[in-house]
Parts: sequence; C-alpha cells; structure tokens
Amino acid sequence: MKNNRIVEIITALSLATAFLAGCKVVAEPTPIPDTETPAPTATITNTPVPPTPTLTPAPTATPTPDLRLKPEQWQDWPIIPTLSPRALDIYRQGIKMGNDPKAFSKVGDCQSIKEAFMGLFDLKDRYVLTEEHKKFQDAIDNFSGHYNTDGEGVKGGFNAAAVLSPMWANPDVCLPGENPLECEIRVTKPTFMFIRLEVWWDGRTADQYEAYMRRIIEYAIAHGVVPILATKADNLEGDGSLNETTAKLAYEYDIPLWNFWLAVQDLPHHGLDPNRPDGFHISYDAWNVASFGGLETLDTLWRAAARK
Amino acid sequence: MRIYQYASTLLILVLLAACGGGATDKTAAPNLSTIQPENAVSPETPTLAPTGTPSPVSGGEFVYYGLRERLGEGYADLGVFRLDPKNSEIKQIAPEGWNLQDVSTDGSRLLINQGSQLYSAYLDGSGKRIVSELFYDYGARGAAWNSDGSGIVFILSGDSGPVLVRSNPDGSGLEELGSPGDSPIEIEDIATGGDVFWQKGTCSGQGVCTREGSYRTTPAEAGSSQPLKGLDRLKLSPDGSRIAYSYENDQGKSSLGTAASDFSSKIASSLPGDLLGDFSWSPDGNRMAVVRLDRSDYSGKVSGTRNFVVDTTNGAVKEYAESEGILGRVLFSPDGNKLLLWSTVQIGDRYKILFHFLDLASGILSQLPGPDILNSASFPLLTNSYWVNN
Repeated sequence: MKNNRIVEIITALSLATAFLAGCKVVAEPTPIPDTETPAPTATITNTPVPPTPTLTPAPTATPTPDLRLKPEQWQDWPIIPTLSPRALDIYRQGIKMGNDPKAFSKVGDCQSIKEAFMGLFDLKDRYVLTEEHKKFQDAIDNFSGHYNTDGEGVKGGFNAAAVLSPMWANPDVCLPGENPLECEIRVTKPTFMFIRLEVWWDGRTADQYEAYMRRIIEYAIAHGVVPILATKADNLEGDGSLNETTAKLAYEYDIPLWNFWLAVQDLPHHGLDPNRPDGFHISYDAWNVASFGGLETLDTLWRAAARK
Repeated sequence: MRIYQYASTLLILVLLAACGGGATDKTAAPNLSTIQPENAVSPETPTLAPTGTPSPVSGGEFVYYGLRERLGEGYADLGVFRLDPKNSEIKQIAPEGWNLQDVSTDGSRLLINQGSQLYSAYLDGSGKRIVSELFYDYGARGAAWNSDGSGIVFILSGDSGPVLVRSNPDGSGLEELGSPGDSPIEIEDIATGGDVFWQKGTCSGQGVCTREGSYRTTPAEAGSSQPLKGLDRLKLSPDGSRIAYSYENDQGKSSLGTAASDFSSKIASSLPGDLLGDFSWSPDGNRMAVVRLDRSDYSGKVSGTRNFVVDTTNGAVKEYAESEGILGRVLFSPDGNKLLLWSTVQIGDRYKILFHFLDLASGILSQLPGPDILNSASFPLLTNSYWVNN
C-alpha cells in the first residue's frame, strides 16, 4: 500500500521551549499548558514517487485521461504532492496579483502553531540539515520569517468555521469585519498556504467540513494563493470521512494534498500521543514528521513553481 | 506651486459643480427597515459660499455617527445618522454613500463626505458647502475642524499621493502642511496650537489601509513632521494638556498609555483584558472611558468587552458591567455622567450593532430600546461618532 523509505535522520537541536500543544475538540477556548518539553529527534520520511505516470502525448487531440488516484484511495496518495498545472496557474496568477513569492501562510488549529509546525526553521540553532537535505535550505531562506509565526490564520481553537468568522479575528491586526482567513491573506500576501483544519468533534459531519473548506479553498484560489491541504493522523470520526473529504477537495480543485496520515503510519501508535489517549493529539515524533514534511512539501511545490 | 495646482483644480471643479456637474445625492433610503429614513439631504447643488446667511439648525443633545458595512473585501458607506439619547430615536441625515468626518467644537456644523467630495453642513445635513473635490476618503477620518472651528484640516489626494492640508471652512486658503512623502491616511487629533497628529500609511481601498504609526506635524515649524515612535491612535484631552494613545505592550498587544501633551510623564495603564478596544476622554479631562477586549490566546475568539473608567488625576479604576460583541467603542456624554457603548454581535449568520447606555452613577447598563439598529448579513460598523450638545 505505501512505499515509504526512511532516507535520513535529521537531528533537531533541543528546543529551549516547546509547547505541549493541545487542541480541544470543542469550541470553547482552553489555555495551552506552558509545559517545557525538549524537542525529540526528528525523523524525516521521504516520499514515494507519485503514482501518476508520465503521459506520452497523443498524436491527435484527445482528452488526457485522468490517471490520478481517486479520493477514496486517499491512503495511497503520495506523502509529498507535486505541483499540478492548475496549481501552477494559481501561483502565477498570485504573482501577477502582487503576492509575495517569499511568503507562505498557515491556517490551522493547535497542530499548526509555530511551536509544533515548522517554527524551528526560523531558528537557525534549532535544526541541522544533513548533506542530502541541504537543498531545503533554499526554501528555508526563501520563506524566512514565515515559519516561526502563527500569523492571523492559526490559533489553538480554530476550525473551518472559525477562520471564516470575523468574531475570531485579531482586532489589533485585522480590519473591521474581516475574518482570520481574509486577514492573513491580506497581511501576508502568501503564494502558498497550508490548510489544516481537520479537527473533528461530536456532531460535526464531513458535509459541514466540506462546505466550509470549499469557501476557504475558493477564497485562497481567488487571491492567487495555492492551498496545500493535508490529511490528519487521527480517525476520531471513525470512518475516515474527513480525510476522504479533504482528498476529494484536493482532487476536485486539483490542488496539492500533503498526505500527513501516510507519513506517520510507521511511527509508534501511528503518530498519535499515547500519553494523551484522546485519539487526536499527535506525538512529538509526529510533530517533527509534520515540520519536515511541511518543509519538503513547500520546497517541492516552490521549486516546481519557480522552475516553470 | 503644488498648492496652487490644487487650488486651481478645486476652483475648476467648483465651477463645474455650479454648472450642474457637482455631487448628486443618492436619495434611495438604505434597506434598513428599522431606521426612519429622514432623507433630509436634498440634492442641492453645492456652492463655494452660502447664499445669504442661513440660520444654523438648532442642535440639542445628539449622537452623530457614520455607518458603514463590509462589502466583499471593501466597505460601503450607509449614511450619516443622528441618535437622540433622550428617546433613542434615530434619524438619517445623509443618505447611503455618505460618511461623517467630524463635528465642529461648538457643535454647529458637520464635515461629511460623499467619496472624494468633502462638505460642511448643518446638523441635519442641510446647507451643504463644498470644501474639496479631492478629499482622500480612505482612512478612518480624513478631515477635522481645528479647535476653534475657524478652519479645516484634511487629507487631499495629491498628484503624488495624499497630502495634509489646511483650509478655511469654505475650502479657500488651501495650505499644505507637513513634509514631502508624509503619506498621511488619517487625522487623529488637532491641538489648540495647530499641531496635527496623523497616521502614516497606505490604503488600497476605502477602509483597507496599512497603518505605519502616528506622526505630528507642527505648522509653526515649517510643517516639519515627526514620528511618534510606538504610539498610535492619539487623542488629546479637551483642554489639550494630556494625550492618550495606544501602544504595543511586552506581549505584543495593544494597551493604553497617557502622557503630557509634550509626551513627558508617560503612564502605562495596566487594565485587565487582552486588547485595547477604544478610549474616550471625559469632557472635563479628568477621566477616561476605556474599552478592553478579552481575546482568548488559545481559541482566538473575542469573548467579552470590558468597560472601565479611569480617574486620570489619581489613577483610580472602576470596572463596570461587561457588554457583548466585538469592536467595542465608547463615547462620554457631554455632561460626563453617561457612556454610550456600542459593538457588533453575530446572531446566526447575521450581524447587528448593539447600543448601550451606561449610567456612571448607578452602574446600570441598558441596551438601547426599540427595534434593531442594524441587522444585516454584512458586517456593520460605525465610523466616526460624536456626542455633542449645543
């Protein structure tokens, strides 16, 4: 089913302060405990070659067959996505619209706060790249300053509905009536945007999630921002329907999907935190898989866009 | 030379306006069933100077405010309104497309605008007189009366960007203030001596601005402009002896500070709450009404609007009942005995502005009676607001 290969171990230097990120699976706000936690050793899992075969141009004008894996096969999708022609169009449109080719954004909940997701790449003494992964330094440098920030699109209690509501926006930064998503895109003008809002709670349906996600994706695309969707490690809903919905949206809009679920399958407890048996929180190992997987995804998409 | 160009353009535009090419009022009432559409602004032709001597419209005690709604990624002006605090009656005094900039210190005239056309007008919206056709209508407030009502300071759209200017009430005597490249977007306050406090920045549309900090321009010193580092949203006390401002505290959140008018003797407030919503001086300058917002560090949700009055003579703080909603704002009544508080709340998929009166003696917070002020699928907000008694 999956074809992972562990290619490298990157040792992250200890984080002086890491936060034990806690997403609460209800809408009520809960403070993040200020627990000091040393950073674990990071293991990076590389991507198998995407299953989409190279097509030979047909001699006559015939529709190109869509050989992408279907959304219901999301577990087999590659971990690191490639840049589709559609995503390249969005990127180029964004550059024309004035988006910053050196900026990316994150929209997400506690799994995406800077302490847990990619923040270390703005802290030069917190990571070491081995020879094989030195190429990532280019992406680290290019997007410098956008890793160790939550911007206006990340808060512990955000979900797909919250980022569309002005009631959740930061009044110090956002315009009156602006929601966190609009605010983040206006302020940062990113070219790429990770969207990780997959938390499930009792009563939430995949249909509701899909409706909100469509609004988020379409807003990003309309502003020339390439949305990067992600699967989640857990299956709290029980039937994997949220991940399948995420894949369905990525398929339909032909935008990148980072298959984080697949990336953590080789980790103990499939990346879930055994000390917090809520079936949702990911382990420290999974944090590092997320950070390095996010970096590899960003690097891959950015290089492809810049090259073309 | 530059001022000459502006003045020439202004003159031409005024002449055109006098020929029928001037502003046309949009008389259609906004779709607000609960507001009495007075439509008092008639489609009169603006003139440079009034004919005859129209009688000032009697005032009384009223709250004047501009109303705006978020539309797409910009804003649309919904008109200028007058709230009678005695009976909570609201009347519309300028129609959709118009906004309120300022009320003169003596409470006798308004500054209102329709896009780039800036007018002075009586308190019911009548008697409009053009001030400028090149008004820069992007920031929160781009025009203000000077302290004695003898002139107007406003931001003019110049050839190479916005320019701070001063004029007579009829738009004549235009004089450029500030330094080249100032890029003012909002006027924050005007001192008795003529110093102008303003916000530097850039705007991509009405209300869609990036703020870069407060500056002070001193006309008496050849218009030199000085940055007021770390200070924002400056408001002078009524007698001009103190100044209140917003600053970013150690946690990166907005907080309230006060200082003497020369920025000595700075005092940082340590009021509870996460963010500074708004602040307003009492008429006697001895107290400040302060609205603080609670925003969860975890969820990001703004969960409450906390209302305080600070005695600036001794630092005593009194917290009053909390009001709901976001973007809480506050005004002191002219007699200093009441506060008007308003904020925007979400009910289902609609938004509504709530007005409350707070009686400072009893501490009773009472919601404005009557029908909804505004209940809309778009996010409504008040722009500039003033509680005056003339």
